[in-house]
Amino acid sequence: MLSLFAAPHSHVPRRMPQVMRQVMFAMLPGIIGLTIAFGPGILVNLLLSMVTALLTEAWILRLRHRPVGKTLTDGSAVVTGMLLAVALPAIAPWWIPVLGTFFAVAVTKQLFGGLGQNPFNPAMAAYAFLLISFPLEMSLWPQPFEWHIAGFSWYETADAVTGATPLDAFRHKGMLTAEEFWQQPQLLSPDMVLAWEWVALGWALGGVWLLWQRVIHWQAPVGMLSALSLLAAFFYGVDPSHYASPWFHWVSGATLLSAFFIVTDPVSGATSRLGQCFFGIGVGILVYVIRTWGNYPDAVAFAVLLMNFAAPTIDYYTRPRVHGHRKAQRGLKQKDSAP
Amino acid sequence: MTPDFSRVHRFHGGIQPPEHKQISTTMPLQAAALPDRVVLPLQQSSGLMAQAVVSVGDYVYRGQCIAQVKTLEGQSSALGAAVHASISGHVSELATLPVPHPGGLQSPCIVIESDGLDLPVPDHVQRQDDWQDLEAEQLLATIGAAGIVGLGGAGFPTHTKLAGGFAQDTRLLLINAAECEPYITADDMLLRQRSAALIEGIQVLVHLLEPEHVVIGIEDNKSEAIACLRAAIDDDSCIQLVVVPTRYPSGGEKQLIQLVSGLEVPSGKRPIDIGVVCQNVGTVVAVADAVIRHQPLIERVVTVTGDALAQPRNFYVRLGTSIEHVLTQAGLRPQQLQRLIMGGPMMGFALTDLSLPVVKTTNCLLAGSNEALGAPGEEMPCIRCGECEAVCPAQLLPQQLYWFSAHQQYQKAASFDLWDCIECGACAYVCPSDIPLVQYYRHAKDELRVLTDEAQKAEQARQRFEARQARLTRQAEEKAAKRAARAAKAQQIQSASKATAASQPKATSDDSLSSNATPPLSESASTSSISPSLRSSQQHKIALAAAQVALKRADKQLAAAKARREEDVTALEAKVEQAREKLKALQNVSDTLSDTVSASVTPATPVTAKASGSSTPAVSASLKQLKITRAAALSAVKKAEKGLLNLQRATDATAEQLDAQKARLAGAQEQFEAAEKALQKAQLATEPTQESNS
Repeated sequence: MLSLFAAPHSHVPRRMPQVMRQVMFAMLPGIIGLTIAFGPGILVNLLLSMVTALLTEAWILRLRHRPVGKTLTDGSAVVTGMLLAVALPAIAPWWIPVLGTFFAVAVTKQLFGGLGQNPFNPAMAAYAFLLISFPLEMSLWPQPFEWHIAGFSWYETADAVTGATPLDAFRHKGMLTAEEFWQQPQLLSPDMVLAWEWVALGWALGGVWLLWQRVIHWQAPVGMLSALSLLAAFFYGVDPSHYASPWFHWVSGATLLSAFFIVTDPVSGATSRLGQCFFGIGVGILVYVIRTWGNYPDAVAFAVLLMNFAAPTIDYYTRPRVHGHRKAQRGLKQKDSAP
Repeated sequence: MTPDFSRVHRFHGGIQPPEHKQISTTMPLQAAALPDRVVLPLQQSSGLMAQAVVSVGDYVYRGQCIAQVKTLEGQSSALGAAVHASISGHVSELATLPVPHPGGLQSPCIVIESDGLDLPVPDHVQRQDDWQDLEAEQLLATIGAAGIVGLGGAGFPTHTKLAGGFAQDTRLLLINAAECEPYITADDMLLRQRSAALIEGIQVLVHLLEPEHVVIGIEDNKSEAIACLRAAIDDDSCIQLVVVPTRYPSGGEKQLIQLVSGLEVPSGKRPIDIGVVCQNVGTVVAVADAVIRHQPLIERVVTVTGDALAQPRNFYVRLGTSIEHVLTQAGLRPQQLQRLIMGGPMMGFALTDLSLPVVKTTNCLLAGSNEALGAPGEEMPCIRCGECEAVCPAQLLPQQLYWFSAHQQYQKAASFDLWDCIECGACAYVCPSDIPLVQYYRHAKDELRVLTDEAQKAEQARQRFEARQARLTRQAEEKAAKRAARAAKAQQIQSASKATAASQPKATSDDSLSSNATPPLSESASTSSISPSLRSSQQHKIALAAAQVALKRADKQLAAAKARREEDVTALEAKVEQAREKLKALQNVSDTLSDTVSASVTPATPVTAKASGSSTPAVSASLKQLKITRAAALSAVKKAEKGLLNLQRATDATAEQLDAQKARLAGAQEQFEAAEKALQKAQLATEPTQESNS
């Protein structure tokens, strides 16, 4: 029996579940870095988030009378859970990843219509939600490389084993100049900086692999990192005693994680390649602004959410010039064209 | 813009799917065995369907024209392609049969049963004239008569395209040998064997179009064909061979033009609008065969390939041969045949019927298994990954087009340049969510066509309606004018023969006719052209004419009744008497009138108005003056009233001011009353005159 399909009759072998698996694979170096630095709490968070993501997705799909099995296997919910989990402190209480992931999948993704319909990055929306609701739990990170000393008490939020992240510490340096700040190990231990450098390296490795695999494209990461670096370099050049160096901005916080895994989210970002570049630049600028003059331990979530708002407008202003047209049609005003 | 041939340009996007071309190039290009029966659809090109010129039972020779396209009025050549018998034998059927079509359509076909002799047309004398001596029109006619269409797959009538190129200035003749679709090797194999014929065909086209440049564009994966072409092109020949990188869809007309010249065909335009004529290799060879060897298009090269065939290869296949016949010769393995595609895997369409015929646009028959071709996966949501945008050769935003098409926002899709989509399928090929994007675009285009159609129809209906309304109004006016003219004429005749009419009493009348039927007519006649003051006189005149008619009719009735010797003659006579009295009364009125103002009477119709009416202006002018005075007085009253009202409303108005204003109002009212009286008097004086006009 001959079967009828519509053209094209052949297809590139890579499909969405594979793309999601590649993203998960690319997160491995970063996860390993986090685990070495901050202990197996990260892995517990990951597990909790992934399970919650799957359960939430399945539950809501049932409520919406959508095929459950097919959608669960696309892997998008799991990736959302993983992205949130790696952004959470390793010693966060168990309900933080559970609640966050539930919010990410149920509210940010499924309430807007499921995969492909969400205007905001689910992981970042959930992160912002948690940060605003539970600022204490969200800002306590364990001392790096000491989790084995403290035994497996990673679930206890004891002050003795916690420390501020480099970004947090630098912001709260008060009247100290940068030189004085760096000379005070009790404010920011060199271990902490080293740990975050290793984690950043992990994300960078995974990101470069994704670029090489053509899962993500260079426009958004390059846009974000260059905007962040240029701003940081400018202010650092003007006043190095009060502003952090570009390198510090690169390796601390979620800079590289977001550059390769967050701003490259196709669903909530700009759609054209040029638009992705602008999207990345916007995120980079906002990250620097919020980090330097804002009041939150990290700025990536807010920067990404704000740019998510801007993405549709960016799309209207970055339409490519269509073959056979003299110039690109851009802007919010629409011109009707006849056949 | 000027074309730049110094380098190979690039087009946006494109994909590099596995080629699968080598599997069908191992065996040489040969003619397939002749079929016992051919089914030749009458429509094998875009444009009009050909009309059969043979009947069932006729014997036809190979190459004999069996269906022709009518040339429409106002067109130099027919848009469509003639059909020729591809084998000799008897016409066994003229019927509507299934034809290769994505929608599984049926279409009129001519069926020929072979006599096994494959006889060419016997009186097929080699024409003496050399093609180089032919005029362009003759050359185009020869190509048109040979039934040649674009053999690359589009099927546009070649002579029409060439006529366009001849009519406008052709700068670039581009021979499309790119053959970018996977699996297909028809042009490749044809070039290996007949590159000399291609050059001949190019010479014919150069003779016809006189282009500034001739370029053959070919993908770099056809090294053997390139070598053959290089050998065939003379060193001093003006033909330029441009080897382009293998990248689908480089063989798309717009893409190949861009690749070799850097020019872009403007949106909504054709290549000839920028001076380019693009022809497929197979088409050019067919032109050479038709013009130089006088052979119409009765066979073509078909790539028969796929993993369901033991010997994939290329055949010369007579048009109308059944697909099964062709596949069998390539060693069909039926158990592996799960997919049958006519055309390539990117733009071809699936078929379910092996008995369908090979047609002029069949460049490839791809018979394969699901494993080899890959069944499409289930459609998943779009994640806007942008892969489609990266590969789109038209540089569209396929994800946006999909969004609008899937949500029925077709106008929005059009504003995102849906019509620039060439439906190459590159976007759907790379889509990680397996969305059949091209289907969405085709559907959106169909919907837009329907919308445009409906809008056009509505516009036509509106224009028709308005034209009809205008016509009806015009007719009514003409009728009314005619009627009025007739009435005036009748009145003139009447007044002339009044004395005779009075002295020769005649028969009866019918009351209802004279009194009821006329007023509406006079009404309609007067509204269109006559001033209100003249209306009553005109009505009177028409009533008079109607009374005359009624009298005449009653007279006739009486005469007839008398002739039949009926009993109620007396009653009729009474009626006639009544009618005559009425007429007399009317005539008396008009007599007095014509005595007093005979010269000044303004008759009802514009025709007679010219002849008379010289003294009324004096009367009406004074009347007008009075009216104006009255109107001025009235407005003065109104003004005074308003002023008073304003004063009363104003809080700071003094009593003196109020009194002054009241006095002003009283004065104005007095003036107005005086004017009113004067006017009434004047009107009373003129009215009898007007009434007695007729």
